[in-house]
Amino acid sequence: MAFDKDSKEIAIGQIVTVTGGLLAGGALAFYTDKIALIPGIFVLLPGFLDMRGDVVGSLAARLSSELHIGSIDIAKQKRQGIRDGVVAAFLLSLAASVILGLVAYAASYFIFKINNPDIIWVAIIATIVSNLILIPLTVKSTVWFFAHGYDPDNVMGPYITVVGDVAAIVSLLIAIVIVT
Amino acid sequence: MNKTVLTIFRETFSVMIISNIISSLGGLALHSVEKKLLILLPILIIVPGLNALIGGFASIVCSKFTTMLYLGEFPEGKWWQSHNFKALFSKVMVAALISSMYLAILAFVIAILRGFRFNPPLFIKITFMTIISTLILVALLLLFSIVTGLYIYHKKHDPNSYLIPLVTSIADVATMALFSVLLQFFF
Repeated sequence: MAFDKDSKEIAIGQIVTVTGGLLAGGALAFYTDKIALIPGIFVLLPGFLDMRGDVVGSLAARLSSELHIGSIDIAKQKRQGIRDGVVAAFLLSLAASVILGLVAYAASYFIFKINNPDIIWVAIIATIVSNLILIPLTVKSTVWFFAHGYDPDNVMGPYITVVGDVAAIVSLLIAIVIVT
Repeated sequence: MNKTVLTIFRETFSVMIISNIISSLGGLALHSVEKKLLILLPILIIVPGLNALIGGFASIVCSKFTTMLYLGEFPEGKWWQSHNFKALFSKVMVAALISSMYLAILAFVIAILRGFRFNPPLFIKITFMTIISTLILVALLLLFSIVTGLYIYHKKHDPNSYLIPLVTSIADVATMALFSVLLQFFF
């Protein structure tokens, strides 16, 4: 039988993920007038969403491993692993945002003949804004799940995908408002 | 900057940039239909959801296939004729059908809440387009994962290390490309 326990688990997990994506799409739809102000924004969008997922996903996975092996222990004030992870995530995303902004600018310029350097600033500002939301949230949630007996490896993936997509789109919209 | 931060940065940066740039290629396809996206609100709402949906399926098919491979449940020769492959294919396709219908319907509800006027033929077109894109992409990603995974396995490497980053990046590009082509075709 095709619709068995496996199909149900996959469908439910995917419905949760899709809901996050739809909330992000809903945010985009509310501000179509703002999106239209930045030509080439759609070139940036998939790479930006992917980058946000990569940075917070790997931060959550790293913190989870360190919590499991005991090199991070909140009760014993062992927090160096958190500090390192946060600094690395911030630097990685910032460096990636500069490259993504340049790629989006170059692609828009050479392929679509749109000369809009603002796209580079949108990428950088959106990354800083989303870092301010997502990095503390990822750290707090991973530690909270672990402290309450959940395995962050099992729950952080779908959770951070849903939250990350919404936060990334909101950050992009904030960056567009600032730049324009 | 301390040594741990530098190590994390060095190990992650190049893989991440390659993956992000591959994903950005999908953005080129999206940009070519930008005007239609800004007018057809339900489609604009669907885009991030579809991206998340196909990315999720890419991870699921890779991890399910590699688990079956290591458990010895996946034959290496004529795998397409095996019961386990057919069972995996039908399970994934049923889940893809349900979740893509949910995506299209909820996107329309959000668009209507945003003030978009309900239009039955448009609803049918967009729902059909979403379901078709999802089913085609999930089927292709499953087949690609198996063929590539078996190749990596034969080369005595662990498919787990390569398959998910590779297939999720391809999924990002393929999703935006196919969706843009269907959008051009239907509208």
